[in-house]
Amino acid sequence: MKLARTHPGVWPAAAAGAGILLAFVYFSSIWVGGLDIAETCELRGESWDGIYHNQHERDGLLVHQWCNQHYDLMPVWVNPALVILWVLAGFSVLMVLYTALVRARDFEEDPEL
Amino acid sequence: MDDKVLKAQQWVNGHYGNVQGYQRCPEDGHTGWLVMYSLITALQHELGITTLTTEFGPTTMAKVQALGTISRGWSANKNIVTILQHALWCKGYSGSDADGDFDGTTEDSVKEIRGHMGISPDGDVPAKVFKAIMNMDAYVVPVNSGGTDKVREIQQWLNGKFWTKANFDIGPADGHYSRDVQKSLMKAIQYQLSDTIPENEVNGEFGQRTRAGLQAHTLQWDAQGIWVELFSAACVFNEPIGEFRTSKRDRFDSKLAEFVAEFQKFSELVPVTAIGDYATWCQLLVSTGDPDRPVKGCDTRFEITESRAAWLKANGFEIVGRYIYDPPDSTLDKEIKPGELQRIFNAGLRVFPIYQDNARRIEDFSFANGRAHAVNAHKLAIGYGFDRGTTIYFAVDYDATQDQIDSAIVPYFQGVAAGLAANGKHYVHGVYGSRNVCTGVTKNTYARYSFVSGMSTGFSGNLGFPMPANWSFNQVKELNNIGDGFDLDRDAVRSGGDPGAGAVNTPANPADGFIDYLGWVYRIADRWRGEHPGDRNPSQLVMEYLRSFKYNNDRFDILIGAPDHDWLNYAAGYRDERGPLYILGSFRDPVTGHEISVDHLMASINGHYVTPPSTDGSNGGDVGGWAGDLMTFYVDWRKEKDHYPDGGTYCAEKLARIGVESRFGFGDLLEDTDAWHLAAVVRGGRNIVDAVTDYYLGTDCAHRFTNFVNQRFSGKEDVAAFMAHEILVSSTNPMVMAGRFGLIRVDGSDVEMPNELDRDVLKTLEDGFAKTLFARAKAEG
Repeated sequence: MKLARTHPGVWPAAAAGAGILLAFVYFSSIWVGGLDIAETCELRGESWDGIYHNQHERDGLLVHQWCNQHYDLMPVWVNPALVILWVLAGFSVLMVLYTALVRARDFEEDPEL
Repeated sequence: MDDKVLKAQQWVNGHYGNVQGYQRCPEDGHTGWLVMYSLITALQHELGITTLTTEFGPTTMAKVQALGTISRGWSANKNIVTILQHALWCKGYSGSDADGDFDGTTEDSVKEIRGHMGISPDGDVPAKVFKAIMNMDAYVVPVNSGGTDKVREIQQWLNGKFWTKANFDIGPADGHYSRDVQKSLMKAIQYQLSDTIPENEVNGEFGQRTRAGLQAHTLQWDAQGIWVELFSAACVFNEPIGEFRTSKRDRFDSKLAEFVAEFQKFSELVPVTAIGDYATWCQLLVSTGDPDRPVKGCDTRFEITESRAAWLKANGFEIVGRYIYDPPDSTLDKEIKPGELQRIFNAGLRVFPIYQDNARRIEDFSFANGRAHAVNAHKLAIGYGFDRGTTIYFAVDYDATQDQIDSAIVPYFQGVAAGLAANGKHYVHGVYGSRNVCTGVTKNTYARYSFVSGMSTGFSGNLGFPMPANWSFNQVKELNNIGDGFDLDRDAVRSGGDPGAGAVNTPANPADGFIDYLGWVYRIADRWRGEHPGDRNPSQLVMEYLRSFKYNNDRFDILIGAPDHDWLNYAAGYRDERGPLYILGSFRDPVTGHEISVDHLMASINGHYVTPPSTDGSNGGDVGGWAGDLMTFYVDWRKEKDHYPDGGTYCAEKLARIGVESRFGFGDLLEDTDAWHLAAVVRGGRNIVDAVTDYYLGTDCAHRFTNFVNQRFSGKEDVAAFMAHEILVSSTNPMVMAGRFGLIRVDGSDVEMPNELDRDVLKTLEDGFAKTLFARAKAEG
C-alpha cells in the first residue's frame, strides 16, 4: 500500500496536527455564549432551558450550547470540524501503527532496509 | 462666526430696521431662529402684509403662492429673492451673491435642498418649500447629533409622498424622531383613510375617525403595500426594544413580525400576536396606546373605602397608586387616610406610593426642593409603614421641555436621591411624568421605575419619544363618577415591574429570606465538610453549590477551578424537614429594590475568593466578575458599532442602565460589586452567611459602588480606565488572556479584538466604563 511507504514522519505529524486542532476547537467551543449563557440566549430572543442545556452540552464527541431544544448557540462549523478532525486523527493514528507494522515486517524480511 | 450669516443679518436689519413690526436680529454671524424671524418679517413686508409676525402662517403662505412660480430668472421682486438667498445661506446652502438675482447657483442650491427634503429636486420654490427654507429644520443628519439615516429615510419618504397634500408641511429630515415627525406620520395615516377623513380635515390628531380607520386595518403576516410602510415606519420610531430593531419595509415579513412580538411584550400587549392589530397601532402612535384595553392598575386622589376597594377588585384592578402627601394649601384631600392601607390590603389589592407637592410648573423644581421633598416623603412613608426598598414616585405633572428637564427636573431628582440617601436609602425613587421626563430622570438619577403620564397625549414629552425602558405603570384613561361616585385614572401595569406593597410594617428586610436560606445551605455544607475533610471550607462549598446550575462548566473550571463534585452530588440529592435542597433564584436588594441573581452573585464571589485581587493587575477572579462582563460588553458594542461609533455613548446608554437589557446590566454590576466586597470579607475569616448578613442588613450595600471604585480602582477614574484597558488589551495574566480569547475572539467571532481597534476608539469605551462606574458611585451621595 502506497500510504504505508510515505515518509515516516507524515502520519505522526498528521496525528499531532489533528490533535492540536482538536484541542484548539474544543477550547474555543467552551467559550461560546459568553459567561452567562442564559443572558446571551435572552438577548437573542430565545428562551433559556437550563436543564436541557446542562443535559445536552456534550453529545458524544460533539459540543453544544443549547438555549433550548430548538436553538444552539454553537456556530455551525464547530461540530463538522470536530468530526473531520476526529476522523483525521483516528486515521492518522491507525496509519502510524500500520506503517510501523509494515516497516517492522519489511525489516524482518530484509534487515538491509 | 459665519460671514454669510453676518451679511444676511446686516442686510436684513439695514433694509427693514425702520419697518413697523420688523423683528431685528443680532449681528453676530450666528444662524438661528432670530435671523429667520427677521427674514420672515422682511418677507411679509415685501408681500404687503402690514401686521408682521415671526410666523410663516397661512396669510404669508397664500401671498407667496400668489406670486406664482419662483424659479431661475424670476425678477418680479428682487428683495424677495435676496431674502430667499440669505435664508439659504443661513441654512448652510449657497445663496449665491444674495443680490436678488435668481441665478444658476441659487437654482442648484434649491435643487439640493429639495433633494435633501426628500421631494423632487426641481429648481423652483413653491410656498411650502419657501416656508421650509425659512425655518431651522435640518434636512441632513448633523454630525454627532445622534440622528440616524434610517429615520431620515422615513422623513424624506413622508415629505416626498405627502408634501403636496393639504395640511401637510415639509418636515425635517435630520434623522431624529420628534413631535413634528410623529404628526407627519399621523397625517400620512389619515390621508390613507380618505373614505372617512377628507384631505382638508387631516390634522395629525389621534381622533375617533383615525381610531376607527385603524381598527379596520389589521396587518397580517405577508401583507404588502403602503399600510405596511406606515406601520413599519412607526415601529422604527419606537425602537430599540432591547436589542431588537427594524426598518421601514413594504411587506410584513418574519423580521418585522419578530420586532412586533418584542414590542408587544415590552408594551404589555397580551396575548402577543406579532401582527399589526389595533392595540399595536395605538401603542406605536400615541402615548396612551389603546386606552380601553384591559388594565390592572389605577391611581386616584380619592380615599379607598371598603366599597371602593371591592369595586376595584371586582373590576379587575390589582394595584392602586395613592398619595402620601397633600400640601397644606391643597383642597384635594388626597393623602392616604388612617386605616385605608389595611382596607386596600384586605381586599387583596396592592399599593404604590406617590409624592406630589404642586409640581406643575418649573419653579417647583430645584435640587433643594427635591431634597426637602425626599426627606418629607421618607418621614411620611415611615409613618405609613412602607417597607424598606419600596419605590416612591415623585411627580412632574406638567409638560417639561428638554431644556427644563436638563436645567431643573434632573437637579430636582438629584436632590430627591440625596434626600433619600441621607435617610439611609430606606426607600428608592421612581418618577412620574411624560416619556421624555421619565427617560431623562432615569438616565441621570437612576430612578428605579417610571410611571408614565400617557394620558397627556398632547405633551411634547410624549410625542416623538418611545416608552422609557424601566416603565412600570402607564396612565391611559380617566374614569369619572364610578362605583359610589369616585374618579380614578386607569394604568397599564407591566408584568415584572414594580410589585408595589401588599402589606406594611413587615418586620423583614427584603434580604431576610435569602439570609435564612443561605444559613440552611451553609449548615448542610458545614455538616458534610465535617464528615468529608477536604481543602474547601463550608463557605466555598456554598458558593460552588449555588453556582452549580448555571456557572459550572469548562470555562469556569479554567477561570476559577472545578468545584467539589462529590459535594455537588451530595447536595443534589439532599433532603431534610425543609424539603429538598434547591438553588434560590434571586432576592430583592434592600437598597435599590432590584432583584439580585443568587447564582451570578455566588459565581463572582467564588471567583474573587479563589483568586484574590492582585496588586499586579487583574486576574481570573476579575474575569469571573466585572472584567468578564466588560469583555462581553465590548463584543456587544462592536456588533452595534454602526449605531454607536463612540464607546462612551454606548456605555451611557447600555452599561448598568436600569431597565435596559445588556450583558453588563444594572443587575450584573450590583452582583459584581457585591461579590467583590463579600469575597474580601470571607477571605478575612468571616463565613459567607455572616458576611452576607452584615452586608445586606447593614449600611455597606448602600455605598457599594463608592466602596468598589475606591478599593478596586483607588478612587480614580483614570485607574479604572487603565484597568479596563488592561483587561481588554494588555494584561498577560494567563486567565485574563484565556478569557479575552474565549469571550472576545471566540464568542465575538466577527468582531475585531480590542488590540486591533484604533487606540482612540477603544479609549472611548474604557473612559466610558470608568465614567459610568464613578457616576454610580457619585449618585450614592
